[in-house]
Amino acid sequence: MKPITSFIIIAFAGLLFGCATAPPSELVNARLAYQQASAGQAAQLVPAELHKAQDALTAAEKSFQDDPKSFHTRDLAYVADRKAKMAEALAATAVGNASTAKANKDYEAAQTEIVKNTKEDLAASQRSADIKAGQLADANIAAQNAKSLADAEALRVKQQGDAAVEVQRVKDSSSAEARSVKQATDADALRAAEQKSRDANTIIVLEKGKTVVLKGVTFETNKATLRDESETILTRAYNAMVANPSVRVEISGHTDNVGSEQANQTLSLKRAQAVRTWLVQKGIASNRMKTVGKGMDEPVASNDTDAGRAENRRIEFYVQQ
Amino acid sequence: MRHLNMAMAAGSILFAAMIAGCGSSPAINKEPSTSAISAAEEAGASKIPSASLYLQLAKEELDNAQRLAGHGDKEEAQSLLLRAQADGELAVVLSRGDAEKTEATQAIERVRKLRQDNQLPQERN
Repeated sequence: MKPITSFIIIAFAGLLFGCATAPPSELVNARLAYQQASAGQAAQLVPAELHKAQDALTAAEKSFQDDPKSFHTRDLAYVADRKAKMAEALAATAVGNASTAKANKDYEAAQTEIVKNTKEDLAASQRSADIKAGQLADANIAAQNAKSLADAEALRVKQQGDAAVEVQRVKDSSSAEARSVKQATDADALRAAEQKSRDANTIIVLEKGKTVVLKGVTFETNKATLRDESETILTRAYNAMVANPSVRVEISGHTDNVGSEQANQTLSLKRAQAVRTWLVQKGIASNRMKTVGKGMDEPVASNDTDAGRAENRRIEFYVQQ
Repeated sequence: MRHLNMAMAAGSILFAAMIAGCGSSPAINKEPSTSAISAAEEAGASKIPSASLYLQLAKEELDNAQRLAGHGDKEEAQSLLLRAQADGELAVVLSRGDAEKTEATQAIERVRKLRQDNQLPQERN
């Protein structure tokens, strides 16, 4: 057989074969799209959608067998391609939904962990306060014992007749001095109480984008335990948060430059958390306050003097909204 | 004369029947396609890159179908509307998927920041 004859026969056979079997591009695409969708997560996550795509592809295949060249076959194949893509997209959406649900669950877990840590800090603060109260009680007992000894000694002196007058004079003098000291102490206490009352009634203004320094919030040295005198300014902060229920704040802790940077960073964060815990216990929603520890990075005064360091040790409210 | 009148009457009836037959040929049903396109637009498909292509295709297919119907190719127009509907529905699904993806990203970032702000170890996924 001549080569030209062979070529014509092969070309004719190929033409016949091609006419009989070549599917339209829409059907080829639909088959690939369905294959891809069924190999992915759609089978597990959105089986109903994948089934719709399969039905659409079956309809297209049937139409292709009945009438391979019709526009309807191509349109049905096109629809099958889109159904397969839809199944794949819906599977991706289901994955996104699962991620969102997991993230929300993680958020709640993190909040629980924060509350637990805060409670532990509070318990530690309480234990520290109990120890100090015990120490104070011991000191009082020691003072009473000393007074008893002094009284016994005075009695002994009094019993010595030659010193009686002198003892009486000394006691009178001591009593007068004690009264004087007591009066002065009472006056100081009264002034402090009045100041505390004035401070508590003073309004803290929370404006968006502004920073407020909570002057008067103090902690025990190297600890995140609030001192009692901090209550006045914290009450003002609480009043401001109650008066502005939509406000959210960032509570930042700051330290002086004494100690390592890492230690100050941790301490400043714990102090900010202690302030937030105090406010949460008073009833402010925890999600209105976030905490941050700035450590020694943002001083507002010189760290070379006691006064400057005291000023740098502070708590700030930054009003976010 | 009588036969002539009867023939004219029969012709008139036949002509009226032809007119009525033409007038009652079924119109194309665009509603599923236009609904899918409207839903895609409401879902913001035109602003989402992955969805906007399919919204555009759906609109073009609807236009083409109307043009074919205008030329009398109603069967082909009706078949083409299947494409418009499928593209519109895919645009809706892709738009919603994009919104879900954004929400998931934001939720994960929210957890990461909460843990960072409170010095908690980050979750391993």
